[in-house]
Amino acid sequence: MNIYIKVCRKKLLEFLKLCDMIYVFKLEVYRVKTKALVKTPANQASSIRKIQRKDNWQLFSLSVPGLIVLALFSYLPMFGLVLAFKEYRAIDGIFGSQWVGFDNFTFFFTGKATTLKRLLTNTVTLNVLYLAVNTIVTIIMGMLLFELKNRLAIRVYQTIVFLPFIVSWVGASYAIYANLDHNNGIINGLLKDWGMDPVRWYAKPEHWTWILMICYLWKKVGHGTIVYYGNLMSVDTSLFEAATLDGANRFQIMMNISWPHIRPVVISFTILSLGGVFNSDFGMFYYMTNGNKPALRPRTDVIDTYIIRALQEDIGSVGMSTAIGLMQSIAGFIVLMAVNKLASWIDEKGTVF
Amino acid sequence: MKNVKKILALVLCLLMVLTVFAGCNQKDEKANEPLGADLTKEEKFAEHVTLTWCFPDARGAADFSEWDRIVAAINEITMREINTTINIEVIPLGEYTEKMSLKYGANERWDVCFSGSQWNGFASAVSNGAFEALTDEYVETYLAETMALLEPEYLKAVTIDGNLYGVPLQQIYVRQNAIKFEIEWAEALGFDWASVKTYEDLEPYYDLLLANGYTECFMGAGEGLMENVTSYMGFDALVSSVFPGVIRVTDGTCKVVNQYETEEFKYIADLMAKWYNAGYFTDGVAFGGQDNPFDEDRHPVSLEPVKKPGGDEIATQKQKNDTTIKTVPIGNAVLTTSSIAQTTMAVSQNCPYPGRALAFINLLNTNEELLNLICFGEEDIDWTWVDKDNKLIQVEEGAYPGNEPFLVGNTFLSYHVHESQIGCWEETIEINKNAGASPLLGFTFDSRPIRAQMSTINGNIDEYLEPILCGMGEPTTEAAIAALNEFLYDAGLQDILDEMQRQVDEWLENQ
Repeated sequence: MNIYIKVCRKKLLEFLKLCDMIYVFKLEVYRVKTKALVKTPANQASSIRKIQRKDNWQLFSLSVPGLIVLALFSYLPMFGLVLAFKEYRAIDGIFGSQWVGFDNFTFFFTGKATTLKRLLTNTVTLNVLYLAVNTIVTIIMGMLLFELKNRLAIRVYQTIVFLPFIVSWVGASYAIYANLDHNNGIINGLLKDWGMDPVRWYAKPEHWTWILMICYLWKKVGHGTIVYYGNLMSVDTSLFEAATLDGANRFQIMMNISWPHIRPVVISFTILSLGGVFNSDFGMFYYMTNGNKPALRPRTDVIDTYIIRALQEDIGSVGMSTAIGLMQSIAGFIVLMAVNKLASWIDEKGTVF
Repeated sequence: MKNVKKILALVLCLLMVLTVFAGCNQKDEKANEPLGADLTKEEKFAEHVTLTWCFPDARGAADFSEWDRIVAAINEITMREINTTINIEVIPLGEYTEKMSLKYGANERWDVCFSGSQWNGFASAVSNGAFEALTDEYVETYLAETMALLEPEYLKAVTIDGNLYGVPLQQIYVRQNAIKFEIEWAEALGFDWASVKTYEDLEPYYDLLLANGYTECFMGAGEGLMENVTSYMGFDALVSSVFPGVIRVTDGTCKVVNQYETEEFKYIADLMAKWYNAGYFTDGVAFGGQDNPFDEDRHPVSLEPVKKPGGDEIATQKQKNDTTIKTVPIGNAVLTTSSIAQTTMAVSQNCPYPGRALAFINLLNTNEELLNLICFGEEDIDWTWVDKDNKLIQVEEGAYPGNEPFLVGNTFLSYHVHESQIGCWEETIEINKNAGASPLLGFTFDSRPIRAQMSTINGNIDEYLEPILCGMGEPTTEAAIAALNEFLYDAGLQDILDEMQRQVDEWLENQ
């Protein structure tokens, strides 16, 4: 997998380099050719821009398939957001359905205030907690991986930490059930062997903040680690050599060269993730808790799992689920903008825009 | 200015793209089908038509290696009888509801589908406008034979706002809860299972089981219990057995009440608490991981929502641990809207040939050969006759898995696979005819006005209900019921009950 990605990347870089060379060459040819004709600097600049644009088109064409996917699956459906303000009936279609104003938004706010409070608290605190812990762990892992010099070891570690990323939550939920089952679970078996009382895991919500955190790290750490490791690879090696010559130890190199180098990436990654702070990883919260067991909900119920429970009964609820999605996105957008602003005060380079 | 122009151009482009998509939303024109009750077969079916049938696959029929052979045989019959090619779109039963609601949402072309309360809910599909309203002309021309088999009151259940939206498939319509025994365990311990009349009668049996090392004597606690006690408590639920809002079948007042405030519910809740405290089942019901020192497949006592003639033999054949199933009915037998509408065939509003679609449904309800072909396969290949006069067959081992007759057509036409089933269809027809109908038979609740409150309740009701029905209400059962009701009223239950009562009263007036 990794080798494949590397080969692809290498090929792409070669291709880009080639494009670059052709571009520079063409520019030179053009310059020589038009030297006599050029009259004003402004004229020259616009001619160059013309060529530039032509080459840009060639490069741009490479991104077209990706853009089409993005347009079809991310931008075009945005028009469906009108459904948040409509009572959708299949027979009338998206545009023919009746307008109902903000009716679709009300269901989220009816009912006990404690339920809503619990949902928001769980969603935001768990997301922020997991994000923070995940960021710290991935940075440390990435930097430690970079310290390794044995190529085989790097490959092995990379693969091991990355593997859970491609396991689905449904598959993982069976693994966790095998571990935590009250009677036949591995953990309770060990506890009994050590002479301790077995724990009824699926009856104790208070443990689940941490159980889910471990699951989250298990799955996500590998991906982040590789991103940061890849970034460190691009640091100019002469910096490390110079530091070594000056007598810096490994820890000092890590803190003064590696860390400042990946800091902007860490910041932009964190900002982007915070944009989704109201959207939880549904798969984890639903499947890992054994299908959203009522007993575990005090600590594990988040907006997305609630929506599924509330709206799955009724196929007429397209409007309400769109409304919730819209609210989540708007809230996430506000958070993202605020954090981006905040980040610009800390480190100009790290901001997303 | 330049930028404004650019943006305008972009918006226009997108609008153009969207109109293309909107174009896909156009309804198919209805074809000109011959109408009239006295038309001959040739006149009715002169034109060749292809119909798409959404087929809920309960047993993995489509994974059968010779599925194509079955499809070819089905088409041979439909071509011969109604000059129609049936394009079978197989959908596994577990995904059926979701797949069908996607089809409605996308306005996709399909023609005939199964609809019920459990899979692909009938009422919500109708309120989404997915089904064609069947006019008398069509029904008289193409569905006359089936209509002759149905009692007029059965049709009330699939009539909403005066329009007929489906054809009820014949099967057991009567709701009567039952207790299910694996009788070998009872007989080994010397317990007379047949004498059980109420839930309390089970207690001596549990004590016997406990004394013999069982820990999970009663399989059935938890939220699912509601479905099994609705008719036992004498209720007819307006939305679902769990959702608040029922009427009492027996008192004849048609007053909508919240079942969670009734004495009947309190009785069940107290009973569960008593059983839990007596150790008849463990808290594994609520938390997963049930303690059973024996084979997990052993369920000495469980519950069955519907008692039906011949059902025990079918259940016994499905048992993995070679035990014999016997069910004992408890409570009232009632005919309700949802018990009839739970197996229905409907025609898509997109179908250009509603008449032909009805003719196909008619065939599924009247053509013995077709129904049994779909449910059991071909004669002499997938099954052989044991007793042709009594319609008893022997299904070949490892052959076509088939399908459940009640998902396909008229159950009363299906062959018997066990000799004790002989005569059960006649018995079922009698039971259906003689059952008392719920005063609300024919009433379908329109949940649109109270969707927000309904969603809020659906979101969290199980969290309150589950502990009560597992006998683990904290701190006491009474307090837990009070908390449940507080949650319901905070979520707007009063609006719901008022709306239900309003619709019921309106419906009664128009009767």
